[in-house]
Amino acid sequence: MYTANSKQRVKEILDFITEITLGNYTYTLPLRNVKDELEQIVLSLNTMVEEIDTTVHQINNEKCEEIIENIVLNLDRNLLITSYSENVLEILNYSEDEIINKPVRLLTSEETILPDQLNTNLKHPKERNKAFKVEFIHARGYFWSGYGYMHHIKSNGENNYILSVFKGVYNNERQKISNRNKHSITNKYPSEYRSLLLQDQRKLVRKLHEYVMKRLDRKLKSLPVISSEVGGSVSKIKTVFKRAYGDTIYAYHFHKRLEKAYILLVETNNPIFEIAEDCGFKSFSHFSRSFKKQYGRTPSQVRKS
Amino acid sequence: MIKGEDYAHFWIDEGILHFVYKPNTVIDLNVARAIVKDRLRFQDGVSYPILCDIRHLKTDNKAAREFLAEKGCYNALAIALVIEKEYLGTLTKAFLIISNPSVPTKEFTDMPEALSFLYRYK
Repeated sequence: MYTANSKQRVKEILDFITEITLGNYTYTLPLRNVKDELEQIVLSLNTMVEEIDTTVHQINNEKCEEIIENIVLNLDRNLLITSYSENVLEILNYSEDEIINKPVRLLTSEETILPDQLNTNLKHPKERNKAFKVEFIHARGYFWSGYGYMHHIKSNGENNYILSVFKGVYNNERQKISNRNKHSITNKYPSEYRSLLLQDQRKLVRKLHEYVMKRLDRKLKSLPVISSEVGGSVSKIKTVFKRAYGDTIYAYHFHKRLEKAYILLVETNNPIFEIAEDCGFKSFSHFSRSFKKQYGRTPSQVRKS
Repeated sequence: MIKGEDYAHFWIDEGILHFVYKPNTVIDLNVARAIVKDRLRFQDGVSYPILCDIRHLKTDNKAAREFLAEKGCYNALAIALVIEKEYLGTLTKAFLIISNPSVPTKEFTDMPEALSFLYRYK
């Protein structure tokens, strides 16, 4: 029946229809993993907006021109956003506080695979310069999808990254008018309830991430313990973390422990068994097996190379 | 690398190529390219009528539809799309009427009807 969830979804759909009415055809509304009536409507709307985009711009080709929108984010070694191109706030509708020093993961969909520092340094050197699909999440929950590159930048011995994402869009008169009125639209949408909810969830995700990263030298406690220490129910912390980082809390923690081990192996001369202990592995063979499974080489082979 | 077999199962039965998308598949241009490439390799130059079961498909995009309507029809004698009308109705209509596939293509909600349509092209 008409639940709180479906009410929220109806609100999102109405906001999306408003965007289309205003002539903005560059977003799609992310689909949920159910096939109920509301998702049928969302899928139809997404199909419709793409077809309208093509039709409108073919018919009015004198009044519109194809332009490339390019979002650029500078990231530190932990993939936190340090600075950004000025169009980011306009395209994704966030405030500066919501972006600066935040993990780039918070702005991308679950399907977006970002080549992190280790992947860049490790495998697939040939694929390093290949464009990959990036789906940014607009402040109102829409997807802005494009193709991006991750550039590795070294300055003063530090590793930094530039994430540059491109999307071909049409710029037309209607869009210009809607952009001119954007300020008043921003005040009206989204609902206060939804933005507060998202803000709340982002805070929780940040807290959880900090909690996990501070505990790379040990195994994590059970979920009920984590939830009581961080705040929020077990199901909520599981869901919001998975949505933000694309992995379960434990899998993410395990992966980060191995990453830490890799960095220590390459950057320090600490004995390998000591590194294993520093990364929370009590059994050396378990560490070695897991490391090989993750990186295709044993810790000793990485140390020697 | 994207592999077509990650997104769909395909096999040949009684001269008809059965092509079933895996649950929750999202087809963008890259996925569409990979799927067509794998299908063509599988067919090894032989053309078949294709039964394309998209009931578990989550969504696709315009670029993928345009690609599938053209290159997705290579080595296909005819295509029967098996759909769930309520969920995929608009998307399939857009594919059939706007993207306009280059071989005879029809939508069905019933598998036996889809097969009997394809038997005419064997």
